[in-house]
Amino acid sequence: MKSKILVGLFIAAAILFSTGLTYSIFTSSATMSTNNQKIAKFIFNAEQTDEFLVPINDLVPNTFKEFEFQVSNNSNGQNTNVNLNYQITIKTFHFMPLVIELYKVGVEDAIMVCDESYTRNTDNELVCNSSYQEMRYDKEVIDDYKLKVTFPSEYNGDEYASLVDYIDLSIASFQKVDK
Amino acid sequence: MEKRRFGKIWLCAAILVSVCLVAKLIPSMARVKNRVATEISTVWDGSVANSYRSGKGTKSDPYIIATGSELAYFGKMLEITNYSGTYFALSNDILLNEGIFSYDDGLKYTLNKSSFYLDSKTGNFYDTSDLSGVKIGTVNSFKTLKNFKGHFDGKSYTIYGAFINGENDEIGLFSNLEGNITDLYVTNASINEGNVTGLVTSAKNATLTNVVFNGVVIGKNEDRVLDKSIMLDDYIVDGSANILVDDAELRGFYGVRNLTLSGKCDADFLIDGENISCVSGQFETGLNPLKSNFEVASSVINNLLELKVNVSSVGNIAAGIVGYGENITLKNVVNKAFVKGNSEGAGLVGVAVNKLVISNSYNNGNVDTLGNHGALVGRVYSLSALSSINNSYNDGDDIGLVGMVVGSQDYLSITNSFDIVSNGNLIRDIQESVVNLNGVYGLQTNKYLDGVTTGNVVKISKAQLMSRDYLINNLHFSEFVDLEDTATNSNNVWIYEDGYLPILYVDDIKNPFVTLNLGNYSWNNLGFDDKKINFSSSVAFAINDANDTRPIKESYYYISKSAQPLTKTQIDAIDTWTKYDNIVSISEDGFYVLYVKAYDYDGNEVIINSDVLVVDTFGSDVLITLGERKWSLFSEDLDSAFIDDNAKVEVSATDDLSGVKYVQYYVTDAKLNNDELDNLNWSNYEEAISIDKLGTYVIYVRVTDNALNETIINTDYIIYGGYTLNKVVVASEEIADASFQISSGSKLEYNFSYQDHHYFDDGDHHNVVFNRNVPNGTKLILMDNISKKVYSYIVSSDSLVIPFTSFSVLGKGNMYKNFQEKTGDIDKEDYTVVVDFSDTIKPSISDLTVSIDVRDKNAYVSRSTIKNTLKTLSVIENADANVTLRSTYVGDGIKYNVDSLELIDLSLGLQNVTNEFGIIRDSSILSKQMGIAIKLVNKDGVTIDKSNMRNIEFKIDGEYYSPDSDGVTRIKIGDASASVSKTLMVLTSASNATLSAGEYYLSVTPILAYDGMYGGISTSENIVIPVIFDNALDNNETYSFKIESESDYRVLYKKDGVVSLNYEVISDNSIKNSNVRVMLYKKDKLTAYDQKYSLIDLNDYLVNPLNAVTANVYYALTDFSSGNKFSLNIDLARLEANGYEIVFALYDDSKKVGMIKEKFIVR
Repeated sequence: MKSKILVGLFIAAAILFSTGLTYSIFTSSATMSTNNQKIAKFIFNAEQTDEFLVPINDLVPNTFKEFEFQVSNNSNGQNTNVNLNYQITIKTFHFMPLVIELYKVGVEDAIMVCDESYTRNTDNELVCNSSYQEMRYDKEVIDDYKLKVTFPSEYNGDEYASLVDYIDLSIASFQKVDK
Repeated sequence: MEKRRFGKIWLCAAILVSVCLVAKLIPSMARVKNRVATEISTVWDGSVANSYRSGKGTKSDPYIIATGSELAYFGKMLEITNYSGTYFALSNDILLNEGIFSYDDGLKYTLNKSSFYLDSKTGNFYDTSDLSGVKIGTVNSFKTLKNFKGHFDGKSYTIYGAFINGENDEIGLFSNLEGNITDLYVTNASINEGNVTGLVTSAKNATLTNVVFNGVVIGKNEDRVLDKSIMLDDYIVDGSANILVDDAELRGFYGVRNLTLSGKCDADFLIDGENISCVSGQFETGLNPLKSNFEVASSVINNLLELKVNVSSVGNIAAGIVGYGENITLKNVVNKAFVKGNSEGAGLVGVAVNKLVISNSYNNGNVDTLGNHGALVGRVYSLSALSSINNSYNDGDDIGLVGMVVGSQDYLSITNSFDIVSNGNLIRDIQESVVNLNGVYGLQTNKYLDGVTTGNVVKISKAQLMSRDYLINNLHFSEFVDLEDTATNSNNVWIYEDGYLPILYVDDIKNPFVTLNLGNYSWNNLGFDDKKINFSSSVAFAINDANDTRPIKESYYYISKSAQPLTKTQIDAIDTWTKYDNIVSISEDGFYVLYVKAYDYDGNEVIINSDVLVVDTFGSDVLITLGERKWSLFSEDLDSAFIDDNAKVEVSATDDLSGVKYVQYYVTDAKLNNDELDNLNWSNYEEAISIDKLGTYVIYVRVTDNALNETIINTDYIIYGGYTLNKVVVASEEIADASFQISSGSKLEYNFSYQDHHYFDDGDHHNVVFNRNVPNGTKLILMDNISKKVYSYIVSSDSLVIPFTSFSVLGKGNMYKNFQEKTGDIDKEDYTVVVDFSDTIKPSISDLTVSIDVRDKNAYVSRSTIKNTLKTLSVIENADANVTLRSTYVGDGIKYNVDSLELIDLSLGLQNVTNEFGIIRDSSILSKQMGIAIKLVNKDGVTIDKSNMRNIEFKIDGEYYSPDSDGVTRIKIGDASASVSKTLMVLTSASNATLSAGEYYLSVTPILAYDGMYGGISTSENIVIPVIFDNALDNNETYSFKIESESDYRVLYKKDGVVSLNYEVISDNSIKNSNVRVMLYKKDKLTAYDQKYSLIDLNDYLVNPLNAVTANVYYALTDFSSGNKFSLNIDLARLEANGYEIVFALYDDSKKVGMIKEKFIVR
């Protein structure tokens, strides 16, 4: 499969040991069929990536944009051989009064609305983590998502002009070990 | 309940036994008062007391001596002080030894009817005359009272049984006396073995009045030798001269005296006509020892040098009254003592020098002296002032009136005096003196052995000398009338008895034939003294023969019910005498003087009387007072009397009859039984009894009257306790002062507690108590901190006492329960009372106290709040606290029409109102907040409309504030309970600066209000800050201006560290003196919904700092001659991940002509 254009790649592969739902550290020497540790990836604009920056600079009040992307367990034609859970994380300063909604295709309601009810990290970024999504290893899976960013019309004052902000989407996946 | 009598019966019995005993042993001390000891005197045990009985030593309050121990204490104190000007008095007979001293070829001591031989040196008495047998005992030896210079009043009491001996030169009751002695009886004295011995051994400038002395005076049986050398001046005798020896040098040399004169000379010479040989330039010769002035004659000029007089004497003095007296006066003095001396002896005065006055005195004693002697005076020597002996006589020994008169010129006069026993010379020898005799009588005409007199001794018979009429009319021995008369007619002192010489009224009756007997008392003559004898039971008297050989023919009595004896005139006027047949009883309490008129078979009539008898069968009236509470009876059923403050318990006692003798008290904390009362260690009551500690007290008082009736009363339980006001709190502050002030809108809390057992009866109720009316509407909150319940009450009347039961449970109104009183034992109470004036018509109240108490069903306070815990409150009108506003701002002002930031420090603090009494606390501050009100005003103080303030923002603590519709920006700062400091940031921007240039000010006013913003009133002055205009707005010109950046600097990364932001200025080239200024702003909040930015210091983040224009405003480009580009080397790592806005302003010199803003974020 032709690699898609990657923008801003990295993968967060945080695997933990624990009882119950356990996670194991995933190393390149483990039962990985590839040296590439990137397991689950965004497929955005046909590019496989672990993170991408949502282009929101031309958003103005009373406008919205939607960004479609996929999450796959296949990389360069290779699947993982473990079951995965993945989590989509949105980070933003949220200095613009945007409404940020994440939809999973096939699910009517947004699975996450990233707003200021979420907490900020030490870099003052608003961090919105989605719920964990499962991806089995035994076949290629592609989950379709849509990110909708809306600039509400009521924020049309001068103070909302020429604002600068960013929305960063990233994914983290974890090996799921069944008991 | 009754007054408790204590031990009256056994005490009276003791008195009876003691009096009888005393009466048996003591010879009759009958005198004017003619009674036996009125109070039982205990024989002295030889001890020395620690103080006098009472008194301060003044004339009106003399030191009182009542016992031998106290007399000994007097002697001990005389070793330290001479008591000059101090007054003493006896209040009782002093019994120093109970046996009888006598002399019968040796000193004897009779005790309990047995006679023993007494060693005068040791005081031991033996069964054999050689003092070597069995020692029976030792008498009490009393020390001489030395050097007394005060006033001693015997008050007609007797010092009985004084045994005085020792190794001193002078042995007597007093020695070296320079004071006065009056009204003293010294009886049964034994004074032994001094060189000068007598009642008073030596006296100088002293007076003795009304003194009667009896006893034995034994002088030392060997002569004292005195030796002295007197240096004289040198004399040059050319013809004749007089050698004078100072008389003072020669005084004290009594007895046989020897004078010699020695010295250097040139030739023989004469002394008083006698030739003195000058051998080898020296001479020595004897002188007339009685002289002090010697005539020297020499035929040639004779230098008499180194003259020395040697004087020596051998002898001692024994006398009844005074041994050696210099300038002394004796009046109404009697000696009855036996005096035995060696060289000088006398009944009254042994040796008198300088001046002597004796009047109305006599000697009855025997004087046995080997040497010179006289009944009245042994030797009168060297008088230097007029001296006299008058109305005096000798009835003792055949020794004449006066022994010798020497060197006294004509100073001595003897008048109206006589000697009824001497057959010899009345004056034995007169040398260098002239004695004036006038009305001097004797059995013989012999007046003197040798000497000169004026007048003669008149020979007279004994019968005439014993004739009352003769003595009165010729010798002027005036008869005693009564004491009142004697006070004005001091010579009316003689009492006449038929067949007897007159005696002084202070002396004993010679031959009574009737006695008035009452119990253990006996009288046999007439007296006028008002001395009282107290009886605690009814009395009975009898009239008896005093003398079997002179029986009463008939007798009558008269009972005078008076506290004062009748005068002689009143006695003479009695016409209701009752014939006496049998014992007569008196049982009614009162004052009595018994008069008896009796006749013997010779028709002699005599009237005698008793002392004032006080029949007092009942005790004293005693009252214990504590405030309004009074107790006057003894009780075993004690109630409780509560006090809530320090108190003084006063005791008063009266006894109209015998008078109060002692008032004593005892304080305990419990009721006492009879045994305990009998054994109490009572304290003398001298001043009010203080109760100044919390506790329970029962006070017992015992009053003894002079009849020895005892009355005991007691108080109830006095319970000093109550609620304690633990603290008062106003506006969270606990008040430490006893008095304080609050504003009239305040409220305050009082906490009371009581921690002790108390039984609450049915009907007992608690109350909140005010001492002043509080206004209607005053809200009271009552918190029962034990049961954890809260009640409330609104004052609606003038009642000062508000029962707890008037309080209803808080919040539930009257339909629910009120405070419920409990009965039974309660050990602990704790209440908080809140008094809230905030809803009242703001009164002024002075000195208000708030307390709580408990009252019984009769409204009697059984427990109050302890007074010294209370605090006094004053409520002051119009004294609410206000807030003050201070600032140290010294900037130029607020720049209205430019982007600027001005920081203004503000300090707000609460300021209580004060008056001359101090701070006035305001509790309403607790519910108030401080704030500020900011206005933009013109020069006339008119507030600028808010529409002209769109470019101004106020910020405190990160919060922005805008004006209300009235143009006032109100900012709440904080609680009024504490001072606070804040920084007011005034941010202006050039945009929306719509106000035209003019004179404007920013006015900041402090507010104290419930919400910190509205409704409050502040009296503090405001802060006024000028508002200034930048010139840019004056110019409406605009210029094109653009900043181009080399890159898109909208998203920058900290990880990139130092980066160079490169810019190019694109502007209208017509601008001269252009400069570009740059400022950096940072987003205030991490949110999309607050787009405020605040100016920060760009230079903090630049590697190459820029030059500043003003605070946080920098020149980005000033010199366009080098081009329009500039760079900002910024260290992104220093910047916080946040949003920023960079502002570039183009200036034409100082005029802004354009501005560009660019936002960026740093990640």
